[in-house]
Amino acid sequence: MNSPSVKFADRINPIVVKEIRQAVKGRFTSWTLILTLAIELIIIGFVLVFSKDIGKNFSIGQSLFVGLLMFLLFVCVFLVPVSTGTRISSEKTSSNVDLFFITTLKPVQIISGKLLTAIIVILLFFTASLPFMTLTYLLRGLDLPTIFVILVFNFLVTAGCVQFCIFQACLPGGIVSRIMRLLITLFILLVVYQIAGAASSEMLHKGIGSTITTWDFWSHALTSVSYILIGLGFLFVISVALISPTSANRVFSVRLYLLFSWLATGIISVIWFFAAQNRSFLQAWLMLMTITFAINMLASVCERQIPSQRILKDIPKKPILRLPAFFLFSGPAGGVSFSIIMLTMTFLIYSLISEIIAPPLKAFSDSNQELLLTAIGLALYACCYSLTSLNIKAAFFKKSSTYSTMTGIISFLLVGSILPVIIGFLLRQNIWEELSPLWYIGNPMVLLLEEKIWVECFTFTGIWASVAFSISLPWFFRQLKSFKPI
Amino acid sequence: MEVKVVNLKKYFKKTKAVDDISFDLLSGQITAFVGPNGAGKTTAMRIMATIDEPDQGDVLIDGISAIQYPEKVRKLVGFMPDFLPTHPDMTVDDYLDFFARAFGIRDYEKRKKIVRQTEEFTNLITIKDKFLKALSKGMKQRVSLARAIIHDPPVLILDEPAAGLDPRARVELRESLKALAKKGKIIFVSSHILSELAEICDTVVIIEKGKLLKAGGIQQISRENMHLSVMIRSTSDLQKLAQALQKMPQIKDAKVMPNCVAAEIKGSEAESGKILAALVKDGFEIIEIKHVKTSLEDIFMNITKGELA
Repeated sequence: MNSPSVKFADRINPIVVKEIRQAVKGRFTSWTLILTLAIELIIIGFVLVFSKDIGKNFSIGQSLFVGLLMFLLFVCVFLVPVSTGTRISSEKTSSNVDLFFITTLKPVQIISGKLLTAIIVILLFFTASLPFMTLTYLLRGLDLPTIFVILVFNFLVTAGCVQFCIFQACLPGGIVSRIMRLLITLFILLVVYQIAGAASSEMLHKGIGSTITTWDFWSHALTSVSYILIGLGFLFVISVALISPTSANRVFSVRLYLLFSWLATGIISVIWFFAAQNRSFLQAWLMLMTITFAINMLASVCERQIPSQRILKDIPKKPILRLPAFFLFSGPAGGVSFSIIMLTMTFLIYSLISEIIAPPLKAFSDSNQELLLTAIGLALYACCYSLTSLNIKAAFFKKSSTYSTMTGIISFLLVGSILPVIIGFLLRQNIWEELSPLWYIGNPMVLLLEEKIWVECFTFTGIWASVAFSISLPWFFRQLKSFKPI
Repeated sequence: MEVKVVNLKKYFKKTKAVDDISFDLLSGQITAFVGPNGAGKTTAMRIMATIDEPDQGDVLIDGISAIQYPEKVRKLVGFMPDFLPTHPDMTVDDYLDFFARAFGIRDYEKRKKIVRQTEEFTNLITIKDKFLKALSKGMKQRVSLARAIIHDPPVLILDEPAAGLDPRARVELRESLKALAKKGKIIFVSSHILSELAEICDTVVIIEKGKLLKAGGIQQISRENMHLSVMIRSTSDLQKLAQALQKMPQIKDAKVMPNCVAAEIKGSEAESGKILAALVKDGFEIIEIKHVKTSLEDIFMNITKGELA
């Protein structure tokens, strides 16, 4: 008869068991941990030996805490996520068939196993460093709740970094693309490291622990945590979809998740909008959803146009279920339509709450339509680029792979954004100052930088999107008509 | 249980690695998959094992498409690639335990029993606590075979399983494969050592430049491609003997070898009696006349041209 602990061990994700065993038997994790603790000890010793007037200096605890935290963050933001990502990247190559190709492990088990293992390792580093961190409390200048809040915040950030690295490792591509992605990832991690460090210092100086009982703390903390967790969940769902079989309806869970997060973040934002009487919550939701669905629209173009036999078999037989299924099943037509519908609903709900329901209330008498217009402009740019790419793909590259289409779209976006500027620069005899903002009109970012040419931007994208939409409309109807089970 | 490969095509840019091949595999049979280097054997096997996707065609394992439902097919297939991927800091026992878990064998006692049985079957029991990176090529091949059979799949796809094995291990592998086939498993095995395959295989699939040249029972293909030959030893002048043979209507060709004359006969074995009688009548002193069987190697050499895909 197996004991409960054995039964529990039998239920653990096989990848977690394998990777933890490897970590315990290998040298990398143990030596990194020993080295981390040794360096933290040296930092403490150095500060204690060389600081003058320890008894009178009230900021010494804070300084030491920041020093220790930045070192711990360096290990947990760079080493653990990058090593997790590179391992997945190498295991995903077809020359290494073990995990992704020959076992019956589900994609969700693989990703959750990798994420959980990295989180356990990070937790090990945090736990091992905790005695040194709390030692700083004895040196004064900070309180225990502040230490706790900062550590929780940074733990969430590092978990996000791990999931981001797992996501980028799951993306398709050859060796060149993998190296480029690694460099981009390292840059993003560096930015996150700096932001997390700066945010931790800010929390420390403000003494965030003292505000722990206030409404303001919890409104911001819960909103931030919700957004981090939803973002983490989104990357998780995409990673699972990326390593799922290409014949499967890979985007189903992604689109359902998008729908769920749109609803969940929308409800949170509306509640805080009215409760805290602060527009920033709703504005953040508007921009976040605009960017998310704009990216989703571009990504949808990469999906295969001819559905697999497996997808065709899974299409609901009842016509009433078939229409919603069209938007949730793999395929560029459904994906682009889904994004357009979600963007339209986002703008309508934002306008309804921010511009119609809220203004009569005293706290919201000021109107802010600029942000809404920026969001609509960004959505129009996304429509222009995705519909044009879709038309080009449908006409010339029907059988192109996801990776080739993705590369094509990114190149199209770069050319559309940069080429007119270069032409303008050359025509203007190499004088930047004389370059009209109109030369930037192909770049979506112009909406954020140049308010002067908004009219031109909307005219340009409006005409472009209408033309692209008119051309692709018959194709959309053909796709909808052919969306039938076999 | 049946495996059906249907019009499989896989191109790497302009290279046709696998070009429209179709064949069937049946339970309890060991099938040899032979072809020159670069013929497309590994590519076809990887598609059958759900590792790669074809450009066209399908592989049906017990009626389930390996292209549409790879996750279902993986339960039915054990794949042994021609090398073992590197796993740092892992022992043989841990490695097999992981795969047993990954194939859904969750119960501790059951898993331990299966892992032990597999280690015994593949002779890994003495090295079960060794790290994978410390193993020789032959040992790694055994671990790879153990991994392929850990979930007791009905179909085994083995790519060059004998590569790197010493003579004893090769004999053991042959016996293991025979034992697995007796259990009713479909075994599809590629190898360059054709003499070894001939001993254990019932059927053969021969490809070259990605195209299927022959598929069927070894005996049937042997019959179709049979060249009945005799080897004649004599104390007489071998040159004259060869010339005399070439004049006979039953002989296709005759060549002088170091100690004998090799002759290819038209018709059946019965012709050799007539040939012997004619030679004795002509005054040749014959010490020995022996029939030479066509080997799998001969068939392979006759059918293929040795061209790359």
